[in-house]
Amino acid sequence: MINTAVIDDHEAIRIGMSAALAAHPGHEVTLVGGAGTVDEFLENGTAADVILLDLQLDDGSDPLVNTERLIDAGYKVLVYSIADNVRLLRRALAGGAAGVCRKAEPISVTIASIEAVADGQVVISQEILAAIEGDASYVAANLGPREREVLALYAGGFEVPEVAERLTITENSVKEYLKRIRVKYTNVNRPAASKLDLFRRAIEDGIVPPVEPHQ
Amino acid sequence: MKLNLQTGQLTAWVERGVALFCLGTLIPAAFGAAAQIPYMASWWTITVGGGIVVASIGMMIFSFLGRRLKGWALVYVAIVTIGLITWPVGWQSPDPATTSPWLWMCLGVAAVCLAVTSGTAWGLGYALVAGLLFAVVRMTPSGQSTTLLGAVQDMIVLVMNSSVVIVALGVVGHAFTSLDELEYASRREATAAAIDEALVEERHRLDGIVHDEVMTTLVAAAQNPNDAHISAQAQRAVDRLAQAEAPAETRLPVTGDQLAWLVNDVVSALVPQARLVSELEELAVPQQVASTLGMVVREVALNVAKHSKAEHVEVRLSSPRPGDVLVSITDDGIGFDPEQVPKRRLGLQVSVVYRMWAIGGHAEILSRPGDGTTVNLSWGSHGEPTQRIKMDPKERSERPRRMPDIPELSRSALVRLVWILVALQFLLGWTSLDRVTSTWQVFAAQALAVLATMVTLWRSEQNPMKRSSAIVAVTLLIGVTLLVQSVLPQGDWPGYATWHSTVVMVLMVSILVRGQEQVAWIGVGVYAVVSAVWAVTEGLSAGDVLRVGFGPFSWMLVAQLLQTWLIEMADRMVASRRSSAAANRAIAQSFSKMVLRDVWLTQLRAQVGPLLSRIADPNYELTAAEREACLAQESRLRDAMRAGNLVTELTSDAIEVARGRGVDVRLVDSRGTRLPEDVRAALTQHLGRLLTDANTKRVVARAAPEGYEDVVTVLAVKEDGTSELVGLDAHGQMNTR
Repeated sequence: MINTAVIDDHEAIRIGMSAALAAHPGHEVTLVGGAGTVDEFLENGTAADVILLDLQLDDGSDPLVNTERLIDAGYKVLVYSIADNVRLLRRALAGGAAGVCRKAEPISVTIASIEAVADGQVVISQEILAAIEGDASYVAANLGPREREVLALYAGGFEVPEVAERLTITENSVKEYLKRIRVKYTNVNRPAASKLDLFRRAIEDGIVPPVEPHQ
Repeated sequence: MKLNLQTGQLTAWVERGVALFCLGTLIPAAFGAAAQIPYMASWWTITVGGGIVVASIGMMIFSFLGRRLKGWALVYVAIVTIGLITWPVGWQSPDPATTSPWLWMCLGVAAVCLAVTSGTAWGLGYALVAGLLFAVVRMTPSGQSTTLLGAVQDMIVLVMNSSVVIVALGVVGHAFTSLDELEYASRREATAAAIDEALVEERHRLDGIVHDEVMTTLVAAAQNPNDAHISAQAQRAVDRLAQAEAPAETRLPVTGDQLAWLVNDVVSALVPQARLVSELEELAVPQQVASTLGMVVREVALNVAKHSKAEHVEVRLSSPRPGDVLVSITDDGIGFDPEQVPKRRLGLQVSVVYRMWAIGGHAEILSRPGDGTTVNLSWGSHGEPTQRIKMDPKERSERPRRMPDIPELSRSALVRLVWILVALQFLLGWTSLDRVTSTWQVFAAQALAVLATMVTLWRSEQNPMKRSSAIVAVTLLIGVTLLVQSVLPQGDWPGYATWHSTVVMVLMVSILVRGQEQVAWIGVGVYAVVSAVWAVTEGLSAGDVLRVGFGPFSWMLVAQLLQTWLIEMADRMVASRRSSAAANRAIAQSFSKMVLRDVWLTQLRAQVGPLLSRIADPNYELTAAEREACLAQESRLRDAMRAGNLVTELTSDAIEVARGRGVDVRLVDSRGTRLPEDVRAALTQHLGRLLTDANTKRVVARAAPEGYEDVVTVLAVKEDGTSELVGLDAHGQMNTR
């Protein structure tokens, strides 16, 4: 049994999720709760394994802070978003989110992601790696030439076997590269050693102060 | 609309000043003429004298009506010149004249008129020629039969006086023109920046609504179609969109720049290869006209994108007549025969012709099979005065830049000019040494004058000058005056032995300009009293008293007016800058609201409006196809929001169709900034090919982060599993990787 909860400021999304899970039998996922903000959720103290976290909440909170708080509270975080700004996605990844799901994806895909995250896996997807690739300063500072090559091909749309074929390496090496890039991104970005570091990272992300439109 | 200060307006003020100058010259000229009229032929007095009066008054009236001065000014110059040449003929008395021809006063004015209306070079050239002619006339009996030396002295004075005025006007005009241009440029920039900012803000606001409400509704409805919560969510989305559409409080007219922006925005979303040329300058069209033009241009661009197969498309905005707008969209595509298109066919007929007609405009479609198509959309303001807030571009281009050949006179150049003027007066003084009773006083006076000049120009980088320096300079000048007067001959006009009056004038004006106005005026007053006392005790005529005593006085008046006027202009500039900053904000907000309402929301409503209202209806049950459509529209909105850089509207249509067939299409934008137009055009073509190919199974188009060799990569996977990766470089050149 995997207990999940949705943190989203739209009730319709939480209800839709619940209905979709019910309509799609043959999985272990149960929706046990929901909240509009991380504050509200942590206050409720819902017992859940995986949290589906929307990137843009009504309180204007920062995805990095939200993710970190949830992980500190012992939850695993899966980003659940519509079409959010890549920079917000990067914030959530830097905060340690394990994966990304789009709300418009078929529910089976979402379920598979929830299961993987519950299992402790780091989800790699083209969307995530494209978001990392777009963080040019990070790529330049932290990735070697081979890693960049793998990243460019994968972010450009090739599947793992195709990347392997192109670079004449094994599929497993490709996966290892991707996982390393992915994990490094979180590790490099957090936890911030000092406020100054935090500020510097934030500037690198280009989001000081966070100015995403919400209203 | 408040009238803003701009280029052209000041030239009008300069012209008014010149007209005033002409009129003012009539007064001393009349004094001089009164003494000479009995000796002149009546035909000469009537034609030349009358002509000068008429031309002066005409200039005055025209300049204050805001009309061009050039015609009258040329008439004035012609009359004065003819008058000078015919002076010896018009002189009817057998005796030689006892005074200089009164016409000399008008010669300098004519040179200034010519400089202002035709250019500095003409003015200076005329001053030289007129000086020569005058010297010749002076040597005839009608011109007092002076010696060659006297004639040359007169010539120097004439050329010098008019040159000084021309240069001064040039300096002022130059300062104004550059100030005006600076003002104009910065205002334009500020307007553009304000508009950009306002548009980005509106776009963010709209994206926020689309993301939070519309897309959320579509996703939720696809997952769980018949739930009261979802209907409520859909209703909220509809309400938020309606709210965003609320009309702005003010609907300010749309300017030429904004119209160009709007047309560019509409066209580039559909036809990335289009080139936009805007020749619109200053005009204003009502918002309703602007948004209709935007919609019609969109319709035309859609036709070009769908049917023309054009490689080159040009969109040209121009104003055939002031206040009018002409948008020409020309393509080199396959063209068509307009006669063959059924009149009732919607498309062009209704959406273009009828819409243009509805705003009082006109649409013209020119095409021949194989010969491309041109669509001309024209709209005229019909001369409504409120539609013109600024000077028409045509009128502006007709106005030649006044005095373009005056280099910017620096402070040191002006200092040098003062020295030259003083030196020239010394020269006149030396050539008149035979007229004075004793010479050492003249040299002593000149030594004092040198001192006075030094004191006046001391530390000229500081403004205002020290009061004490000004007082010292004025005292020295009074000393110069007393010294010179002590050796002047008794009983008759001493000619250029009164060289000191010009020195006094130049230095007093310098003191005035350097900020010690009171001291300068007191100095001029004392000088006038001293001169008048001398002239009266010597028994000179009233004209001579005026000439010596009030020459500097009148020049001071001119300088004071000029200075006051400069300061007032500067104040007005500041005021206009302030008011235009506020106006900028208002214009930008009004325009961006219009774009939001009439362009972006209109498109959004057409795309998702019907679907949203069905979801919002609690009694309506969505069909399976409509649920699919929800997801398709959500994908489309996501593409537009996340990768709008990569696709045009037509590509989005093709993607929607392809996805419907089961093709996996993904768009990734890791770049963020706008793609070069060449790349967009090449990408549009390439995607078009891939998406219509039945063998395509998966397409991933991705804009690489900036700095990559390939700006865009497109991966295509076919049904048979083979894949092709195509890169597009910054020039849109394709290469297979």
